[in-house]
Amino acid sequence: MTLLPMSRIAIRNLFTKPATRRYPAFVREPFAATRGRVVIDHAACSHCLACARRCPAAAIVVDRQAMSWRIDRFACVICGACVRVCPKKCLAITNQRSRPVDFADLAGRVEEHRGPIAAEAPDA
Amino acid sequence: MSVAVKKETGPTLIPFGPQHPVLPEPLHFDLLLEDEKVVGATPQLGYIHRGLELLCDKRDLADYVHVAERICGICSFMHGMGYCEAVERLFGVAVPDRARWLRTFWCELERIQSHLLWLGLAADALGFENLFMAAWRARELVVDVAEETAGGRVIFGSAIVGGVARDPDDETLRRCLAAMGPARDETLRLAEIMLRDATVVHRLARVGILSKEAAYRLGAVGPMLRASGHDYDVRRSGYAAYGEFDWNVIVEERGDCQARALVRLREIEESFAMLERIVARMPSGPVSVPVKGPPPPGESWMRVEQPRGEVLYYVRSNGTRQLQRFRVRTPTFANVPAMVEALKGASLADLPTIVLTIDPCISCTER
Amino acid sequence: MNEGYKLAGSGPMTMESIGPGDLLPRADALGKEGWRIVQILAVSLAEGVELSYAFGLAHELRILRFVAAPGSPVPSLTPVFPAAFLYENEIHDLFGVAIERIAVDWLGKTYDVAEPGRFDLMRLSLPSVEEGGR
Repeated sequence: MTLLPMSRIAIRNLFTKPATRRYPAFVREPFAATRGRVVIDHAACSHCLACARRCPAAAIVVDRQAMSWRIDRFACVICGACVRVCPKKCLAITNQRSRPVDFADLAGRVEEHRGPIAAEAPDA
Repeated sequence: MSVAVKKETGPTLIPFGPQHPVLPEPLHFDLLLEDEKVVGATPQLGYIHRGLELLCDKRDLADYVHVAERICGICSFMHGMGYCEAVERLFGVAVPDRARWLRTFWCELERIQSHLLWLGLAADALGFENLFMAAWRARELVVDVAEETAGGRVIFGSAIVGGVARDPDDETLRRCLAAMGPARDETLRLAEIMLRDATVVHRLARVGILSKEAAYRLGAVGPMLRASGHDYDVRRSGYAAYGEFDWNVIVEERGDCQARALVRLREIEESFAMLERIVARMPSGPVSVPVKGPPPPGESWMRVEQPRGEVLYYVRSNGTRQLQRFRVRTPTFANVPAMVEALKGASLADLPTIVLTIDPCISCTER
Repeated sequence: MNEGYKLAGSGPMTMESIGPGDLLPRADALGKEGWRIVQILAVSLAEGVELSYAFGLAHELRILRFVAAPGSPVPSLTPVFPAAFLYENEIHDLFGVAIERIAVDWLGKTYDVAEPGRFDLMRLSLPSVEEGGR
């Protein structure tokens, strides 16, 4: 049995660097497998609403008429259900986490992608 | 002339919680005290009831796993896995071998991180903050492995119906296991301190004794039951890959706080040893099978051993992809009556210690 | 149990339908053999609330089941298994089953929810995703 084991740990802590990182000055690189956020390749999206129907957090709103795909980043729990269910495989989980949003601009938490505007008539 | 003063005698009723520095989650007790001794305790729950079971018929059963794993943060993976196992048994689907072994890997990883979290909180309840910080610093290495293999530190998110969602390769698993080596050594050092330091022993030994037959009769599960001398562990029923390699169940006899601490600390070491065996025996192959179509009408009763004890998952289907009923009987739900019994006769100062050695997870209890 | 109704589990299981009056004698007999209460489950059905009392011994489960018609009284299990008070309070509050003489009775305040009422899965409905709901 060592003498004063906790005191040794405490004294050693005085001379080693802190166990915490000074976020946001230093941001750790996420691991390759980290579930960061959901990203979409909107050009490939067919607006079938499969992801919106299956999202457990109801974070995705798809408008077929306006060809828009919208995600509420604060509601999304990055579970991957939408990624698994998308028939076009245009959704993916990247390891970069979403950016924090300023409290004054909470609407910035919703990320929207729009396709070509529906009112525009296609060229003949 | 003397004035006779009538003294009021009798027990005092004081409230404990829901806000209290040692409680990780809100729990309320009405304590009946004679001087400093607790003669009766009435628990009161209900501060974080979210009604998660109500959502089971609003979501496809494959998506509901993401709700189930968010019942609690510490026992998250096992909630997801238990739900998946219950649904898979209903379908009659066999999960591929590698998925079963990966599930076992993540289960034991979760057991380690949960017990290390408990170690920190129990030390904090005693006022031993240095041990609290040291235990959580060791735990960081474990949650980093969780993030590297499964994608999330707290909510692993890797259990899906039909298998697992991630497939970390064997090289990553071996490297992660080696990276956790310092955590394992640090835990042994901290366990030494927790069990031998004179002050800590004085606070834990012979405190909060739960006798063997009271523990069984009142429905205690998990380390609380095993610390009172019962050799009962649901992992022996052989779900996931538990029936395919050797591992030990930790049992203690004395039933006091120190015995419960000893069971959990030994379980951490045993889980590290189990992880080594799991990674060495990990088979190759696919990690999920598609589970399509509606399940047969019926019900499924699945039991899993979480860090806090036995959990029972009940799943009922009426033949559609939305489940009719989902019910989780969590270990703290079963441990509450035993906790009340352990509090009787304790001194008020020992109350936080006893509540913490039960390892309450109130979010699990109330769902 | 109907034909085509599947009963799955993680160990040996037996399920039996009983009448509400048989509950205490059966539970007492099981208690003397060393069984203990594992779960009391309530499921809302059209004809009432179906109560399943699961008793466990080692890895085996024995389940006793009956349907409590709306309003009919159900005896409490607490005289035999005092640990059952938590389950019975929850079922009494969330499902509206009239369980009588629970040893520790919180009189409706188990969960203290904003809208006290029956936990009726069939009745609640949320707007669909297309309608802009969650």
